[in-house]
Amino acid sequence: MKHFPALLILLIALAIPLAAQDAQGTDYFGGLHKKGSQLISLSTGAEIPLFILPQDAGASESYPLGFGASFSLEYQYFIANRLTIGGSLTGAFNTTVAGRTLFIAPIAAHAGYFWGIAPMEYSLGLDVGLTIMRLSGNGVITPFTKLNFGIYRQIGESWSLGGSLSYWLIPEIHTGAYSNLTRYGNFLGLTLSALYHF
Amino acid sequence: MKKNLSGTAFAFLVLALFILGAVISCDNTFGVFQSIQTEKKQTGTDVFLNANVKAVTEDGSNFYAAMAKIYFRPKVGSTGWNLLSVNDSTNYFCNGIAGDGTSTVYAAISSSTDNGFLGIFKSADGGSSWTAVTSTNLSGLAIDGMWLVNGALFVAAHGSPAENNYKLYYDDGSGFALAGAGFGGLASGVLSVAFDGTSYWAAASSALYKGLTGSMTEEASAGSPKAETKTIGGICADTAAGKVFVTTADGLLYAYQTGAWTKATVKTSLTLGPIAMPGNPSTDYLIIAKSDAYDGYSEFKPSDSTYTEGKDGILVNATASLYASTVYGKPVNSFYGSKDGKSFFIALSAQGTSTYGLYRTDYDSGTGKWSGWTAE
Repeated sequence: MKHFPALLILLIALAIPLAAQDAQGTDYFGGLHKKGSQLISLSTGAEIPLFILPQDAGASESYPLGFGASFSLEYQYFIANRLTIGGSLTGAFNTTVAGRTLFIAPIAAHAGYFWGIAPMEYSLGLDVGLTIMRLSGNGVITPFTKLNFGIYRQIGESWSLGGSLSYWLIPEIHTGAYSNLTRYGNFLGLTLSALYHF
Repeated sequence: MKKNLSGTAFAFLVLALFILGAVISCDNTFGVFQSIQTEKKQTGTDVFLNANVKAVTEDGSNFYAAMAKIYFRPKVGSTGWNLLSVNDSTNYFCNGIAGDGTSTVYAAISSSTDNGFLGIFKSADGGSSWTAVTSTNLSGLAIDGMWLVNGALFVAAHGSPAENNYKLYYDDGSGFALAGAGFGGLASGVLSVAFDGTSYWAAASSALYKGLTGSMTEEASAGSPKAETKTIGGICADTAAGKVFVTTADGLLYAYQTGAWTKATVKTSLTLGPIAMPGNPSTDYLIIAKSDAYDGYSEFKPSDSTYTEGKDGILVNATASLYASTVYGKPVNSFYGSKDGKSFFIALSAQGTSTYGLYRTDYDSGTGKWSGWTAE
């Protein structure tokens, strides 16, 4: 897990020369990244728990959460060339060492930046919103943020397939007498994605 | 355009209702990540995984857990739980089990193929050999439960049809006789039996009975749960203090001592069930099973009416998630405190939870604390 930041930087670095090439052109990925375009993405993959901060004094397990799965549906609208805004709905499950299931369901506003040169396209995105978390019948609603980097290959006029790597930060905020329950959950998402441009 | 706006408005309405519902179901007092952080991996015996454990008891050699069959493990040594052979057979269905904690264990069994009553058997050598107990009057009945209280063996049963046909018998040495004249046709089954140092008590959901074996009568004096038309959930007794505690379906705890009833409110929103007195570190708190969205149990101190959620109680030693990852969300069938006061068991219905139906917490007399729940 500690190699995640280095991996993210490497992926972005690999994509920068391609971005520079595309930046010199004006077709904006065949017009798919031009202002007024839209896209829908569907993603599914693994959700990997990284760490929860601050550590609890009563913790006895190093990794209390297991690998899980996630799926998401995202809509984006190009408000300028390469620049999108939109929204996302996500669902994710992880099991705990005691056999319980953590369900996370974020609803977020999305901002993204696309670039590329056919047939490869790349994206950087930021999601900010709220997430419902449920565990053993208890629930909380907390803030949610996600940083996302995606690489996709165009397979048709409208469709691209690829994958994305994302970092989730979930600040679980409790107030008043229960502020000692405040924690920050950190997750890594690794997904396969399909983009539909229109 | 109008149609589109209506659709958008409808979508926003659905989203708003979804968020509203989610907000209402939020609990600021429960830390999701904190609960996960402090979980302890529970690795119990496979046979208790997703199981419904009805009761636990002991003799001098073993602890016994009753499910469809009986499993046992020695009190000393690291040997795990094993299937108990009763009367040289493991092809049976367990109707009830009761032990005295020191030398003897009883098992009521029926056929696992046709449910026919096979009898009540007694072992005085840790389940190695069994002798049939004369079961006069029990023939043709379905056995619902069995208790060994102050040396007296009680058996709850019902006939067919069950309506107004629940019964309570005791072993009078030559067979089984009704525990009292009124026990031939109860409206509901007996939940449990207790002994307050002088009298035996039997609790059914609709009534309480008190007295000596064979002459127990309904206890409906002023201030009793029956007099106040309550539905009873469970009963236990503090033999040393001569006191009896009774729980009700509307969150009340009744106490009987020296001929008088008192009552306290545990929590009005709770349906209360089986009750027990763990005994350590003091006798002045009770563990009470509850039936609500979270099931499990609560703790209650009768002397000052202190109510404590199970996750914050004495039995889990303040390590909340041990409760959340063991007992939470499961109905409690029964409690059992070991004869030496060092171990306390909770028997649960764990079907479909991917967790276990039997947990134990141990008392450390050095620290004066319980260890927290661990899967058996």
